[in-house]
Amino acid sequence: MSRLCVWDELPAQTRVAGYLSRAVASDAVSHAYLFVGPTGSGKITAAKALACALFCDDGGCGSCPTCRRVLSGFHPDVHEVHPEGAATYVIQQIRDIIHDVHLKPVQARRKIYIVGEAERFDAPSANAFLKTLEEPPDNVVIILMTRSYDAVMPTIASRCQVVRFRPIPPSVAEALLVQRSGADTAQARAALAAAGGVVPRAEDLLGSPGRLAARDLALDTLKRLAVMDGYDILEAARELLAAAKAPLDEVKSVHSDELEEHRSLLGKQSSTKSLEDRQKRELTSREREGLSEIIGVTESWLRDCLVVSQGADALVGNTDVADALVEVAAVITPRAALTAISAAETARKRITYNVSPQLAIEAMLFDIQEVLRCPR
Amino acid sequence: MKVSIARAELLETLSIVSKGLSSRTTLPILSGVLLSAQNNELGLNSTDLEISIKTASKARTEEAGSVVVPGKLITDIVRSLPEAAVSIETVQGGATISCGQSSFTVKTLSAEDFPKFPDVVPANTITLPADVFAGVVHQVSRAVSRDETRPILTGVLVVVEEGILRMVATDSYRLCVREVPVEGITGTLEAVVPGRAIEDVARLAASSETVKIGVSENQVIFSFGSTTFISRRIEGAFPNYRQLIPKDQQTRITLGRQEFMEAVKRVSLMAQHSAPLRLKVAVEDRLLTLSAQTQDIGEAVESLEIEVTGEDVEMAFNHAYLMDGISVSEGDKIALEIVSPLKPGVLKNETGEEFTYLLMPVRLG
Repeated sequence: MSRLCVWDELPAQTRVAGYLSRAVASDAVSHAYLFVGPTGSGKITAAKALACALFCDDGGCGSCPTCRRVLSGFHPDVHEVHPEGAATYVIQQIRDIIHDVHLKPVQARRKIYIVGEAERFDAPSANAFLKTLEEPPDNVVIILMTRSYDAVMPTIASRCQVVRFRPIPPSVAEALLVQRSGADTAQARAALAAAGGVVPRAEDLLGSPGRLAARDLALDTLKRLAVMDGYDILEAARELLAAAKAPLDEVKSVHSDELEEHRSLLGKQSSTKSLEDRQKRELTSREREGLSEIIGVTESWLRDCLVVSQGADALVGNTDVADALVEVAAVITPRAALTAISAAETARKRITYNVSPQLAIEAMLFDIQEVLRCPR
Repeated sequence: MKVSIARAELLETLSIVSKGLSSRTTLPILSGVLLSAQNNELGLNSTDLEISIKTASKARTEEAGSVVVPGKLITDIVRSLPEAAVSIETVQGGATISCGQSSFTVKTLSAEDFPKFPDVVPANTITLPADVFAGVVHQVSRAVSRDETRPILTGVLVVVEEGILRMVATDSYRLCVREVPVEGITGTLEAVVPGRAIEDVARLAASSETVKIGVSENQVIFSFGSTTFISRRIEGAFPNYRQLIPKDQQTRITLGRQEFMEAVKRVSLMAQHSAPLRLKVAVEDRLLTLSAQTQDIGEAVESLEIEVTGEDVEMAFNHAYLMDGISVSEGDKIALEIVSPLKPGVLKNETGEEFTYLLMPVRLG
């Protein structure tokens, strides 16, 4: 039996796991990697597995004290960094990394730096990092992660070996989610449909009653959309937004606890700015995520209508609302369904351009209603 | 955990470990001090992942155990307490610190989450008198670079060989080498230690008799009294400084250190905006003329009597770097050796080779 267990954590990325484990085995690990892949495709898991494989005497058993430390984020020679600025890395973070790069490791033979969201380097922080990224001391491995290769500055990307992660196929994602969250297949499929196929996000969704309620509300709105008048739609959009924001209260209370703990440990005068900035960023991204979930539910419902109308019932994601689907699917043409889906797509795009979410959702609902009212 | 200890001793140990507290917000536990009580001893531990400090003090342990308390806060508390026995006791989710009639409760963190103290076994250790060690560190640390672009220069090269302790530091504008023969040391070691760490050790060890230095693959270990101070070493090779030191000289001047220092200090007042300080040696008159001039402000001139051999020369230095060199040298007299106006000047003790302070010249316009 093989004892290389850390790589088993990457069931959907066998190619990447094979590539990295071979690099470790033949001692050909590069000094800098750029992991490119969609959210939830296992980039962090792979980075940690690589760290385990490099540090562990058994090549990454996943269970010795060294591996456990790496996996739980307590290993002194594995550094994980995320942007601390409002939208980018701040130069001081990069200077801290550079300072540490030139010190000898604490316990292990190497030092590993896991740098998340590599697309969020701005010019000053990237420039500060370039020399180190290109020629770090021999025992350093820098792993950058990003969702899109094109979003990373070319000066950064060209200094790294690029490792591409494929999106997890729906069937694998479904099985993983069932295994992790204990939900049944139908629930898992519905959650994945809403979360755009991202396993960790779907897992969160299944664990949060507030977000499940938002999903139900969105489905209910879509079901009644055809018979609503203009005022009802405005009202529905408002309710949807409120539902999307409701789960944020959970996050906020966690944040205020965190801040309180920080103050009680370091004293009232200590600077909490970086912590607050991080929390603010997290809150914004959670809010965006909530909205994107509402739109994701809408899209998946419309897609279900389309597949049912074409007789491919097996592909339906939201099986719990099948009755409403059938009704719409009976009359909708593929072209009309695509128009409606593109309305949802437009709303998503508008929100990333900072259009008021309320307006974007309202516009989307009006557009979809038009399609549903004359589906031919 | 329940332990009681004299306030003065607790404060002393806390002030030692507080050098190792981290101010980084990403890992709050690093701003804490790990207290562990056992066998009538209270151990204190702090780390910022670059340096780790461990010290201990006699204490009356009523209940063994360990806990992490906020470092800065507890130091402030203990400092403000009256001189008496302080007792520290863990309670649910926190710790109570009481002394006389006052009592404080602070939040604590779990001792298990605290980074383990590095388990380092040095190949060999060398024992040095603490005052000699601190003196040498004081002399060379001025020349340590603060610029992170060349990390190796932010450290001090510590070498022990053939019964000699040598430390070298440079920031590429000046280079300071100090050698001291120490009686009774055997063995060799060599390491580049971060400047901040070695300065902290010199300061903390001042009250001890000896400092032990040991070097392992990745760390350098200092122990003095009941304290162990571990710092990570800097990666890379220290520049070959020997080839920089000129072998010969064209002019050598010797003069009183104190006089020289005061004159430089005075004339520097007119060397603003990093204007150079000129030195003109007149062999015939046995005079050194210092002058400085800042445009639109004014100028200063001062002459000093010197002993001199060699030829007339005129060159210039950065006044602050020259001042640093003179002030860290020892003895009544100081020597300055010059090869040419465009080559580095060397400050030395009048007698020996033990102190060498190499200084890059400033080109005269």
